Amino acid sequence: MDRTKKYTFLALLTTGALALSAIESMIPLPFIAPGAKLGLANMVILSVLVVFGFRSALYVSILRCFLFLMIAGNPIGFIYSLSGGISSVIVMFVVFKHLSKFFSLIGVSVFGAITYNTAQIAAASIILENLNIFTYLPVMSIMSLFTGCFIGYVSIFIVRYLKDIVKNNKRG
Amino acid sequence: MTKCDKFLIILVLIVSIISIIIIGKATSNYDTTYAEIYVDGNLYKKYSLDKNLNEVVTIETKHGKNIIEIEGYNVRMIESSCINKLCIKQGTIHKQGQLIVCLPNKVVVQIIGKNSSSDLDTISY
Ligand SMILES: [Zn+2]
Repeated sequence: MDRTKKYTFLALLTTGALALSAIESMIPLPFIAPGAKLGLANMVILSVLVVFGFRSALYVSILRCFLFLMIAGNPIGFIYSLSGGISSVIVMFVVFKHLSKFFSLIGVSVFGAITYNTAQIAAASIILENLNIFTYLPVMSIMSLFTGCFIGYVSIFIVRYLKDIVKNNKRG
Repeated sequence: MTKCDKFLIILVLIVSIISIIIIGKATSNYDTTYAEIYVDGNLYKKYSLDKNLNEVVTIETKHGKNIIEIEGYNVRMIESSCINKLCIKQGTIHKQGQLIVCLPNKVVVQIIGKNSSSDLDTISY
């Protein structure tokens, strides 16, 4: 796949991630913890990480946060999702690159979800100058298990599909 | 799903459940409870909770407006200018360690417990 095609493709995927974030914000969730999210956009970011590599995934993740800031207009939410987004891409990359012998994409995604939530709680406790926020971490981690498994499972299919497209593009 | 995936999931589950139990234990059995309201990380107001207490606290800062209601031992957020109203959804709190957080407006309400008997113990010791 040449550069232009790759960037066009990544732009499309970023839009996909953005759309998932927008849909997610419309789903009413019972209160679990402040800032707790399903993190549906992560299925796109994880797939990009596997198919296109670390740097592309980082770009898509950061871009999604910026674009979502423009849609939702919530600057504080932006700080939380950016800190969560960047750290989860880094952790997922390390696990995928060095530990994929042991973990499938489901495990990688669970690592990502837990990192995302932990980073968000850390950002919240720094901004609010309150360490008690960390008492939400266990509940959020259990939620991360469910969302992480689901997102990892879906990502396996997306990756298979994406790899096919990339391969066909090389031939054609 | 690999064996390690399953191991990871079970490990996180066990650690989380144990933490929840520990946090839950730390929240029970206090003689006196206080409600502390923090704005921007600074203590804004502190109330000693009592069954006759009836207060409505209005906080207006550059981040937004919040109205907190204290009724007896129970504290809840009744109004907020924030975007997602998660703080209102957090409902009523009354136990030591419980929190209401409004991330966008940087408001935290927390319940602090004090045991007068254990205080006496430390003094006499
Ligand atoms: Zn709020």
